[in-house]
Amino acid sequence: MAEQDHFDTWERADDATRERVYADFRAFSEAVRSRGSIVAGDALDRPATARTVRPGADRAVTDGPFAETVEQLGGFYLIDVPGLDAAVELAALLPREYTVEVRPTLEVEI
Amino acid sequence: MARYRRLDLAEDGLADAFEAAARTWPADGVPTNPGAWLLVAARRRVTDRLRAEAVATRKLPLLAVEADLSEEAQRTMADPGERGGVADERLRLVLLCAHPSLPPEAAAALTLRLVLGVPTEDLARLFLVRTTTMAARLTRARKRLAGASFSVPVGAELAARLRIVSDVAYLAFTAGYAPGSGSDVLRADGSGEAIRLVRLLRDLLPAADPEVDALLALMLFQHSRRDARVADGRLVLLPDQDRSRWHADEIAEAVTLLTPLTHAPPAPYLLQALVAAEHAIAPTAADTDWSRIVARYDELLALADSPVVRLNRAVAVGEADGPLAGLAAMEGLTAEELPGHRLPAARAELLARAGLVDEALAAYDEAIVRCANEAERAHLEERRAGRSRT
Repeated sequence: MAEQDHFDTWERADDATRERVYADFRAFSEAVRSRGSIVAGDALDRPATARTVRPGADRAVTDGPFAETVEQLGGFYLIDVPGLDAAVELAALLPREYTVEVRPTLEVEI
Repeated sequence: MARYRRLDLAEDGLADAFEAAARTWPADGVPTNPGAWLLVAARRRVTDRLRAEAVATRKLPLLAVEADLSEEAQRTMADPGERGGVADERLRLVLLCAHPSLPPEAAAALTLRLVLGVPTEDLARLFLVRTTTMAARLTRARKRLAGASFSVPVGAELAARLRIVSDVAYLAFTAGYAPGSGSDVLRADGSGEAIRLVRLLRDLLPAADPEVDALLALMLFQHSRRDARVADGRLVLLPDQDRSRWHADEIAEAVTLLTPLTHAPPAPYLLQALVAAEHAIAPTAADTDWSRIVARYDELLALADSPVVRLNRAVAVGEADGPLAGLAAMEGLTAEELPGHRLPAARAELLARAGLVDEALAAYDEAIVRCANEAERAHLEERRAGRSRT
């Protein structure tokens, strides 16, 4: 969980410290602004026309820490109910803004 | 069958040793040679179990593995920290498991399972396969290693194995950032351990490696939000998170790592870190530069196309250009390449935003059914396997 003094540290940080951090963010943002044109001289192909480059033989396709699917769109609750149907019914009561996933948990012995 | 059970003991031995360390070291102090302590503790645990089963005299694959590990322990005791500079025990164990006789992703999976304790179900989701498939892969990998010799690499061989350490750390981080099982929204200890591993790796490298720096930056960005992602045990989505609960010092460190790399050539961890940076530096959700995120994903697709990348890019397109554009970007993605609920759930969200309510409900149903099917099929297969085990 959070370090004990984390919030205190940020609260205590004086304006100069915070301003330096924000300045670093702005410098980064400026630096990346021209990336597309410098790194790739020609315009990048639209993805639909891009050649599919499979990861090399030694690199499996895997999941990763992508915030778009994990935090932008949603996650799950774990609830203890007597079956999948009951869980689905309860899930329907959640606010509509929530993306809902219902799945039973299993113990799989390996 | 007997072979499988013996190898299982090795895992238990290691796991117990780490657990004992976590319990006793805070009170008793860290031993002078933590690596040897862990290996000797693991060996003792395994020997106790074997003795209890009265099979100590049988020659079994585990004993060969265990003998090599204890030989390694004795060498460690005699010569701590002088073996090619790899003094940290966890990193040494990771390097031990990154065995050249295994295909790299099998080595990664086995390392995650044995050294970092990632549950098999989580591993399955990381590799986009079913739990039973991952279990079989792990079993095959263990069998391949039975009788292999273990040694921590040095020099050129060490350099070759370091890339697998990055990949292992990346997956271990993901397992903590987005656990595939259980009740936790996230597992900060697991992600924290992965970050620690990458820091060790950076210290070990003779020269700075841009992809390792980018990997650390990526992890710090995503990790920095851990306290804001949960409230009262419930998930909090990115647009709703209290940004004052983000760890600004970690974000600042990541930005410092990444700023010299903003015009570096495209590389997988670099591009993902650049995407992550866009979220981290936005003062509010509305300030997020989704178009730049899409541009980074375009680069990533051109470099290494994958259904995972396409799906996440489609979410970014949905934010930048509207839900219909996002749905178009998802076209062609199939359940075969993206098993589980995530694809239909993402589709459902965009359909709902586009006001296509009936289609959205159908997609939500599919997401739920996908989960139920996975769970049921795993359950049925496990029961079948259970029967043939006797």
